[in-house]
Amino acid sequence: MSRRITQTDLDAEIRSYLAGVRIPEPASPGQVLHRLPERAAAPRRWSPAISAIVGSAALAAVLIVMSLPFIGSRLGPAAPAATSGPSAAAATQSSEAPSATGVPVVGPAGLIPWLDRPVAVPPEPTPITITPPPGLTACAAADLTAVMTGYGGAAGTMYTDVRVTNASRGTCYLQGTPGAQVLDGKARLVVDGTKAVGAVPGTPSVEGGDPVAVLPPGGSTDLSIGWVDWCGPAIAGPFSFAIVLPAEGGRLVSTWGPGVQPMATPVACMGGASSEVFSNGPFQPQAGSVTPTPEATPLPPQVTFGNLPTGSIPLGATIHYTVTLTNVSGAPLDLRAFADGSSCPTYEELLAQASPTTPLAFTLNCSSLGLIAPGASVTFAMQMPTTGLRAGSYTLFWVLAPDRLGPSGKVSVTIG
Amino acid sequence: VPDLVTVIPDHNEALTPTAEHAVDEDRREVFGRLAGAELGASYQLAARLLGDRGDAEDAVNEAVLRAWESFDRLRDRAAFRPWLTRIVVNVCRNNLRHRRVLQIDPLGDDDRAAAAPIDDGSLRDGVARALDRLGPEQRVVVVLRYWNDLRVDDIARLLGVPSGTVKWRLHTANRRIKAELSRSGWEVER
Repeated sequence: MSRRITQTDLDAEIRSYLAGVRIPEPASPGQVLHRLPERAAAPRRWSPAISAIVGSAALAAVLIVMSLPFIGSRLGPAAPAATSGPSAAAATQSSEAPSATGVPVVGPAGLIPWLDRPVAVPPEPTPITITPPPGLTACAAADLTAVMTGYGGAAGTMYTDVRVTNASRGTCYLQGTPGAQVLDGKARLVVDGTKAVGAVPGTPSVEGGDPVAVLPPGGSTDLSIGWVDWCGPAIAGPFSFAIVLPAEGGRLVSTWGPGVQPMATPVACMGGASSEVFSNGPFQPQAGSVTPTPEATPLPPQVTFGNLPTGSIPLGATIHYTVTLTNVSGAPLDLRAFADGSSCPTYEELLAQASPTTPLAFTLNCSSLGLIAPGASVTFAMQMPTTGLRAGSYTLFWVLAPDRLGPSGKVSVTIG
Repeated sequence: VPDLVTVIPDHNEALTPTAEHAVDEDRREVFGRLAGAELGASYQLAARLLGDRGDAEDAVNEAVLRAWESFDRLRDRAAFRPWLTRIVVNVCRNNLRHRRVLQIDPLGDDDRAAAAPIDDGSLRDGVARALDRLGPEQRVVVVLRYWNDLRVDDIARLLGVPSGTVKWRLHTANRRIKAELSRSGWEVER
């Protein structure tokens, strides 16, 4: 017989538990202040030429990677076919050639050793407020169409990609995080994600730092909707999802795009007491909008694996593998664009079976790299411990700059 | 938190004072004052994120050293508190990510009983267990939301991620907590 509590009680319990954590202060909390090195480190400085290139690359890369929804959470779409054997690790020697701008450009690179470096501290926060261009009005639901271009997920979790297009004759903008709702096959509301759940605020909402996606006629922006944990009675699809626009913009019901098999069955029950549906965050300016979209927009690098053992990996052993990043764009790519523009980005790796292990995060060993030439690849040595895991088949996930929704890949491995 | 508004001892007292030396000394004093005022709160935050006294102390020490190394880049001294908090959170996140299993037992039974708003130990145990099993990113947003009482956009700014990402992590954390509680016989009503 289960006992019931309300979400409010649960919130209070979590707050109370955290408040009840009473750990005595260390005996000498200020000792560290007496052990400071002599001088604060000077800030790293870049030449104006490099700064300009990295700055534009960072903007372009962010614009692109933000169109890859949920990679940080579900660790990305299906990866390119994994390579096996030592081919990637046996890449040709590194070569550098001057680019048109005089900045060294990396050609085919040798194996870059793994580096156990803590995640870099990002620069200080700089609160920003983004305001829509003057004279533009917010898009209303009647101005827009929403088409679901695909969906995926695992047991109990579903993600669908939705393209929102301005079908009106005028330019308008979208800003903020939309709310989401699940509708059954008869367009009846099944799950409403617009309400706050305890301390978790509801959507839609607009925050000061949310970007503005300007949509000219025919322009579009993409978002994703997640639906998790349906434990209710049987319901019939095909399901659709409604988007509730911020700022009283109205409600927009999405339709399944051509060639996409509509979702007919609800997500599986994961044992939670309530199902939830939500969007993946604020609208983002994307291709098709008139917000800055550099012509030479570099695509995120393609991720391929190499040097993985062909057989089983012994229990407790460390997996030594390689990750090759290939610049599939037509422009030089700086991997620092996936960090703050001047530091090497972080990456995460994890092994997943029924439930994922805790991700491990490191800084990519890219400090000696210049720009990656179009079509060129760089290969990094990687390590992943298997301590504490049971024998079985696992999926190894790897994602660059997870907080920025960077490119990712996955490959199957057998342990034990 | 002890009074740390003191001059940080100079490691180069034998050197002849120069203008640069004086500037460095001034920087030390300012940093010591700013950081000293935040040590207690930083330690309490790290303790909730890491659940271990030694790890929390190490994390705060590392964060202070990192902050000192980057102090020149902090243009607005008034932003020192959120800046240091961000560094503390990042150090703790990194620590959590490197742990395969989060081992946390910061509470004694007496503390748990004293802090419980609902007089049922199994609920408290369920919450504790659920929080222990959250992933690093989920645990960070839960602590910042429920203990620091930060708003979603403040957490997003602190972590350098979109507010939607914070909401996503809160949602998934909430779901995992509920699932864990259901295993303890608790159902959470909306």
